[in-house]
Amino acid sequence: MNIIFKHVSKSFGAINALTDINLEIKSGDFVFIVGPSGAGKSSLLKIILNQYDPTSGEVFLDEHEISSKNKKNIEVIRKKIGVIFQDYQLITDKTVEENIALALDIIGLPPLEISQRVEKVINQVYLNSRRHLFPSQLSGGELQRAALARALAVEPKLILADEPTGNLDAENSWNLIKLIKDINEQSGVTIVMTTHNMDIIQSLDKRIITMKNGQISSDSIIIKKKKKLKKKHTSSKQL
Amino acid sequence: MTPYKNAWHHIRRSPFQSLVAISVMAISFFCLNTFAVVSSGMTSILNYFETKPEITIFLKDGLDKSMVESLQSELANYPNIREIKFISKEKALALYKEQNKNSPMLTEMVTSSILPASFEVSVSNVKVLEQISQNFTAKTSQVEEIIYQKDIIESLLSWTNFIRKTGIIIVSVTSILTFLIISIIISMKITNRKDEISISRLLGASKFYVKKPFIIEGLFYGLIGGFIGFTVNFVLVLIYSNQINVFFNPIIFITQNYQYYLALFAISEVSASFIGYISSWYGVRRYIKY
Repeated sequence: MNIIFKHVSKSFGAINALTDINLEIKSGDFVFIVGPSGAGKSSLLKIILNQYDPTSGEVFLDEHEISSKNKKNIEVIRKKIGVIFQDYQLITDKTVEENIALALDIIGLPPLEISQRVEKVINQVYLNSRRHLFPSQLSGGELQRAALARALAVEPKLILADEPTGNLDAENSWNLIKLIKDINEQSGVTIVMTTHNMDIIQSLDKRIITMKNGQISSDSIIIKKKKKLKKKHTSSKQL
Repeated sequence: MTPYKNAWHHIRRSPFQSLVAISVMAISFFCLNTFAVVSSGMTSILNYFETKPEITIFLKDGLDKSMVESLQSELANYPNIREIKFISKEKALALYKEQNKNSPMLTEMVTSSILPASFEVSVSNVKVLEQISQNFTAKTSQVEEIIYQKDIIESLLSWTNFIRKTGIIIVSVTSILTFLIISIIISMKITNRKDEISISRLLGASKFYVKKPFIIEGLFYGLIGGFIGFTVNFVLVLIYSNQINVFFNPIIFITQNYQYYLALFAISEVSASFIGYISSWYGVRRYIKY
């Protein structure tokens, strides 16, 4: 799924959460969004999901403009997005299996297909033995895998992950990231992930967007392009 | 998970709230059914008297045959007369004995001489009775007493109207209370499930998708509450109808017509579901805005 931000700003009264964001994320990209707390990372994800409406500017997902004026569009687009929250956002009185099934019921799959897909993703995230447990009976790692399973079940075109490793230990963090990376590489799903975990970011050679005070302070893809251009320029000079 | 399963899930997760909703609905529809049955009984009593307009003219003792015949021909001259029955003293005794055949003590000492002869006049227009009553009351030398049903009908009519009005007020008040209680319970459930609703919306659920289980829940309360209200009333009717009907004999106060109860059941279910639907819809409309 392609994501385009054109001069997007978001303010809450006098506070500017995002200021003049211009951004393009291509289908199949794996992008890390990093930055200190309050930099605007979560606001960026919430605008993609239309939890927030931008104060100004335009956001396009696969050429569909996202705005609260077009509610039907938002519902259709949300069905193509898998979301993983730092606090998991699982429904507490539903089992792991029921939480996953709910996402599939929302996209309108028939019951038989729902059970097949639940089976598939539960095995994919190694939660088979925990499928009938409620969120309160799971560990942090298991909760995050359940949230990932729910996101994967809908076979999304885009996965938004807001600090998915925030509550996990090192081992669980690596396992989760490996799963997400495999999905990105195997299925071409676009991944946008906010994180503070520099070990993970540095270990994967992926695009990194750094945010500060609601603005993009650096974008690794642009830095790479500049380096490439500089290299080309120097080599042509030497010749 | 279908919306029906979801609604059932909500009901099971807060059984006391669900119990309150069903109980209030059941009480409301028990009142409605009871009122309907009593009201139908009152109508039966009224119809009984209204369709049998009669006046009974008791004659003084010692009137000769020609005098009696002259009174009878005078009565026959009134319009809308259906039947004029002369009950002689002997016939009155025979009727008295027939009515009290199970109490020989009451019949032993009675002779025809102590019972008055009378005319039983039935008409097809109640207004004629008024004229007969006025004219024959003036004949004090021939007429002993006149029994005219006007007073009974007027009294019955005022009781029927009172019962109907009271019934309508009770049913309206209980229906409004039911509406308020169910919409409050649904609102509380929505508040309890705020997270679930917002998560579902983030996953792409439409507003209708998240509202549907709550509306189904309201419909469920209506159907079950209406069914319980009707059933309790019907069971009481089955148990007590004979005793009540014996008391009102020959009028059938509690109808034995099962089609009437089938219609009452259908009306109860439809109106209970409607109240359940409207109240849950109101709760949903007020509280699901995200």
